[in-house]
Amino acid sequence: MKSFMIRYDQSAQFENVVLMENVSSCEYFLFDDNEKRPVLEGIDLLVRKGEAWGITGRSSYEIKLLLEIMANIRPYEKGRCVLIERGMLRLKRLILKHVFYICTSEMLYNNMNVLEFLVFAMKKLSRNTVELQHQLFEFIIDIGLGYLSLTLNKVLTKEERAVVTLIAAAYSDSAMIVFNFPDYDFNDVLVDAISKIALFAREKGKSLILGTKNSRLIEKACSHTAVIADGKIIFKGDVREFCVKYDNIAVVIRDKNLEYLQDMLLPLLAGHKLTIKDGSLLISTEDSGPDSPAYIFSKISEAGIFPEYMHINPKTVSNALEEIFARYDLQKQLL
Amino acid sequence: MHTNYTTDEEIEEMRKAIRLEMKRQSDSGLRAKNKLRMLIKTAGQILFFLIVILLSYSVVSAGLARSRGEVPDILGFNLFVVESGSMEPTFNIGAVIICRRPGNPEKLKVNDIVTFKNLSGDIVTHRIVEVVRDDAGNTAYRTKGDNPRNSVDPELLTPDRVISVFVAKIPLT
Repeated sequence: MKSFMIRYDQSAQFENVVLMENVSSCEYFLFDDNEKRPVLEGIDLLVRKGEAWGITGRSSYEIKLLLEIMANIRPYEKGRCVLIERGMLRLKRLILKHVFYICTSEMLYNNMNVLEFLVFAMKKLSRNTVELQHQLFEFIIDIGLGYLSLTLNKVLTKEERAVVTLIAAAYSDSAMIVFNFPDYDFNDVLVDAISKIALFAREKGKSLILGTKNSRLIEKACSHTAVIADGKIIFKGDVREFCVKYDNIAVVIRDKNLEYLQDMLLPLLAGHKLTIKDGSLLISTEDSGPDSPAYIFSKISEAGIFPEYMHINPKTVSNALEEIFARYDLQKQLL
Repeated sequence: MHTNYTTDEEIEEMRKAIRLEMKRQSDSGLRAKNKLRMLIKTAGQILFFLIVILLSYSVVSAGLARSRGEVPDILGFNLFVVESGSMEPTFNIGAVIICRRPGNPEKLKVNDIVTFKNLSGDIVTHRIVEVVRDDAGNTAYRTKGDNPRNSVDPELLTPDRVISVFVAKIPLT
């Protein structure tokens, strides 16, 4: 990545960007039996400077609301929320200088192209417009969005427009960026671009909070994740730690005859779960079983079985999310 | 890919155009101009802060001087408002004049306009019309208001009563 010469507010000496303690929302879900529960309840979260958090869950509304509270858009009923160690204003819907909140893709001017818009938006941060234009142009190309660089904003998809706004946020002097699009469907090119923008923003000491249901986006762009279920955070922490903890799939096998392989391997791999999903046989480790892929490979080869394709599962957020929700649902049924 | 999206050729063309513009800028010394602009801006900011500090200091020191019954002084300069017509037409009533502390009150010359305390303790601004020296070498000044109706002041001005010497009159006052 190239070096950038634009001025940033690096003087602020703070470590905690968002501190939420036991926060509950003012909004409630009302159930058939007149029972009600807050949409968000007992939220504890700490986002530090330079971290990128992916807030995810099954309900877009819960994700969106949590990010709105973080960005000072909505009030909360209980608890404490501190932004950049400055506390939160009672006056809601006020745009705070240190927060760049993106929740709509309608923040671009339609009569400009992407580069023109970004130069226009960032002009106050640089004295030399040509130099700024050069930096932004090369940055757009570096993150793989060269094909959008001179394209009119009005022909972009809503996802592309959101990413262009994120570039402006990364270049701004705001210390915290909130990117609230849980329902947007970002393709692989845009996910890669977001991950590069996130890296750039983090290098500048900014914190990024992404509201998303896209597990690949969390995997590529985020250092941390928080998973919400029924208004509560059921996991928060490092993304790698999350994958290792909840993605129990050890080995993935592809073959023409998966059912046959499943029947053959089931007696050999005690303490393992074998499931067929999306044309692959997934071998997961149960709590008590040996979890080494080497053990599984040796058992398969000892039995004289040679599948067409077999590889170690790289541990993905998608699998981990599936598992954490499955465990959560099971626990709920037991209660 | 959508037909309206930017092509590689367009990217390359834009790149060339930006590089050309950057080269033109550096050739024509725009960078130097930008630096100069930055320098002027920084100097302006420093000047602004100095003025703010000076004004704050003036307000405080003027308050303190007043409380001690002295004439307020800012870096050796005083401001006076002319309250009588004794110096007309040089200074009209209400004119604001800037004076400074004299380097050596013994060495003032004829035609210098001085502000001083008379023997009754009033502060007066008049012109020196004569330098008087006695046998022992002591200096005194004979003063007079410029107004033709004024006669010379009855008492001689001794250097120890000189407060300041006129420097300039603030226009339109």
